[in-house]
Amino acid sequence: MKKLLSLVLLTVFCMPTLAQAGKLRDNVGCGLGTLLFESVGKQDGGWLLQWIASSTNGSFYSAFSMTTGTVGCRGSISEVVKYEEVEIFIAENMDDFAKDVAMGQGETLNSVATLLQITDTEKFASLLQDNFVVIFPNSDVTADQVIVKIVELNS
Amino acid sequence: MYKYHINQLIYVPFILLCLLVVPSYSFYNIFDHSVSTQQSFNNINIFKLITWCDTSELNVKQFDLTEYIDYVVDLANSEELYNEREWDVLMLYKENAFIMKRSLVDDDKYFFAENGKKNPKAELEATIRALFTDRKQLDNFSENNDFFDKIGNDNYSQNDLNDDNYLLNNIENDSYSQNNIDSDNSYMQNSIADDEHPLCRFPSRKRFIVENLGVDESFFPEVTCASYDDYIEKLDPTSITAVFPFLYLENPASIFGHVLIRINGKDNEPLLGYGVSYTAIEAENANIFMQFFGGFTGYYSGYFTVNKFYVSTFKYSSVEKRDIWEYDLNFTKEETRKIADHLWEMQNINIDYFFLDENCSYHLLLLLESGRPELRLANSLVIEIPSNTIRVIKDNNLIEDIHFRPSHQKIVYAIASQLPSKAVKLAESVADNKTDIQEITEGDYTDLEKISMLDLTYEIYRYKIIDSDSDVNPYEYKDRTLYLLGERSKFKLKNDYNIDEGTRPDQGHSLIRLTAGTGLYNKSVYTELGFRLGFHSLEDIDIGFIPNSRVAFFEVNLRYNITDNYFNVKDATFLSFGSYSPINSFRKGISFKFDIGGEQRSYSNYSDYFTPYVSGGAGVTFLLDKNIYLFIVSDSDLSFGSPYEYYVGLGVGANVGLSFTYDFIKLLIIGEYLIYPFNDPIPSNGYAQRTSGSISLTGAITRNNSLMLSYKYSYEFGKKNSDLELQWSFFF
Repeated sequence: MKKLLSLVLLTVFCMPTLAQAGKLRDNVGCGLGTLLFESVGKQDGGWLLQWIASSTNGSFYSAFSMTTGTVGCRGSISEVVKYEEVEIFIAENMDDFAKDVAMGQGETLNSVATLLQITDTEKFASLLQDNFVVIFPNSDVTADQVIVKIVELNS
Repeated sequence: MYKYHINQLIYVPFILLCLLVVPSYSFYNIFDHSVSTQQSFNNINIFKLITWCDTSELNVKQFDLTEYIDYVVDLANSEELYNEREWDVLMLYKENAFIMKRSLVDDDKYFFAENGKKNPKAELEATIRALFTDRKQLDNFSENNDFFDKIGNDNYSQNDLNDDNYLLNNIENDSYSQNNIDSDNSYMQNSIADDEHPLCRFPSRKRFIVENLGVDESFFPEVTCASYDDYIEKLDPTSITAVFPFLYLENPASIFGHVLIRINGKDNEPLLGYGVSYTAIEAENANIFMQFFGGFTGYYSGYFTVNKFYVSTFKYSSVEKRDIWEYDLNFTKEETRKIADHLWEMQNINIDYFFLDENCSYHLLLLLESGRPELRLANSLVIEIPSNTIRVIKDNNLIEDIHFRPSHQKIVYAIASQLPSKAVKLAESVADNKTDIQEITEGDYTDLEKISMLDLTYEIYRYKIIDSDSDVNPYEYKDRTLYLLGERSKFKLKNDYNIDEGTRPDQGHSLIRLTAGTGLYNKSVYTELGFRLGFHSLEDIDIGFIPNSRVAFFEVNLRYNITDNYFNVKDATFLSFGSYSPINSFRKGISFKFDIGGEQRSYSNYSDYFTPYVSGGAGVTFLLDKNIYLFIVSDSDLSFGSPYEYYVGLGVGANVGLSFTYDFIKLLIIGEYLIYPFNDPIPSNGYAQRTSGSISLTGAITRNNSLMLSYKYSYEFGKKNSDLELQWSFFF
């Protein structure tokens, strides 16, 4: 597991597009409150279907995977995909994930553990709970920062 | 048995002959070919080889691709494959009243044959020919051939997929997996062209034809279905769950609940699965009247949509506060794959959406049939609704396991109910940012209580953010959320809240109701027969429904008065709608009712007059004790008919009701008072007003049978009537 996690970590750092990716995501909202505000219509009045349309218009994801495919991470392609999946999942479930981390249990925790191929969910959950403040240092935290912290804690 | 490997059988004589005559040359190749499934060697060689054998030994005509296709078509026709149940399922052929098969699909793209919607045989033949079409021919064809126009045209290019294709909105865009991008550009271009090929577009039809006719797949053109492969990789279809978000009265499109299916991946994490819905996208944004009339006339187009499941859970349990029941179904992995394949075929295919029958429930049942064609799930007569869908699934023994996903509202109630009211008040106050959180963390409570209070604080805060119409600053929300959760994370204990599931929708009564009753109207004996198309009324047992809700439509009660020997329509309901949800400190919703129908009323000049009316009102409901509800709603009534001056009368008043449910018994008491302020119709004695009181006691005998004893006393425009009735209800 450690090996996998460090591979994930490695791929995180060999992605020069990370900053850019974060920026692109900001256009459709990112991190805490994303689902909430985008879908409840507080900010742009859009209901869920519109949210799906706006957040998956392809610009981010295709740009993302295309660039990573050409930057020399070829040795760990499956981990790149995995990382991408985890990041999308956390970005789109940030509120529930933060809640589950704080409470030490929950469905999003299980999902993230599954995506990271972590078998000891209990241990994973309590480790994250202990480090809540480290993982979520402030409200501007983005999904990629969260995943980097999680991977660091688990390696 | 004839279905097995026809291709091998037809080669048997050739093999034998060739074995005798030219063993050294032909044996290896032919044998290899007959066991191979795909392009193990070049097609041209087979033709040459067979030709050579043929001409030298049998003098039979040359056997080329065209002939092979003709042969497959002939075989399909001679075996009447077009009559197979699975073909009906894949093409959505249904027999109409004249026993003519017609496909439900209203989209030319779905058919290869010109008359494919009505002719299963022609469609099967055209499909077979399309599957064998060479990719190069496809390009040529698409310029001047109608049938490939359908494929090559509007919807199948990659760009359009991203814009128009609802099904793949979520899957397609983020899934251009590494493998594709790693390859060179020509591969990408090829794959796009290939994706349009019937072999890639219609994997279920391909499998159906190959399996039933033993088609030799090496005759198919070589195609690489990149998008389809991606889709399958992404979904990783392993098992199926039917998901039922409960009835939701605050959105007219959802008053019957909703149903979607979830395709689970191999890891079986619910949130990582994909939810499949059938919806009329345009209708969701239309106003209620357009939804209603458009829904009845098939004005809207329905499509399948696929989303990550967490999008659905967020929408239903947090935003709309609906409980969700998840029914794991016993479809095998192979059957699940078939369903995913059929779903792929249905992408971007339009079927006119009908609110009553061809709706979200019906099409999901059809989709499930594609996994196991021998199932006959979609058999509704006139109407199909989500809660009925769950019962159909249950009656067909498809349910393996049931999970309950409580709404956000239920979670809040469950936590609150475990705490003393003082603690609940404190949590609310902290959530409102009126009290400091240290009052909880450093207060005089046990750790478990503190955890409950902190959880409650967070849930209330979130609940209010979602619920309130006030503008909340997202930054303030984020900061406070992290602060509350940061405090919570310091407590390591877990608290598993015991959340009451209530009654499940599959336990409720069926849709259509028949009633038979007998009673005393004043001093005359009568018998009565009634029919109601749907759905639920106040006097029905609430198991599996929202307590004290009424959604009734197309109801008529016929009464024969035995003593006085006359017959009349006692009442008829076109639509009756009532929502009586109790208020509490978290929920401030109003109760309301709305009715369109007609009933017998007494006037000074008429003893019984059938009076059409439209009425409605709003008010409030209280939960007095567990299962005891009290509601008070205003009422205004617009009535029509000759008793009224100018044929229209207006009344205003109020309704008060009390309901008490204990297991399978329900007691309902309702009082009504209406005054007609224009003194119309003019009463000969008394006042222009209607007063009534009724009491009914209903007991469920089985899920679909119940008995009701009721008494009603009314004083209408100076006339007094009493009505005592015993009634039996049967649902189906």
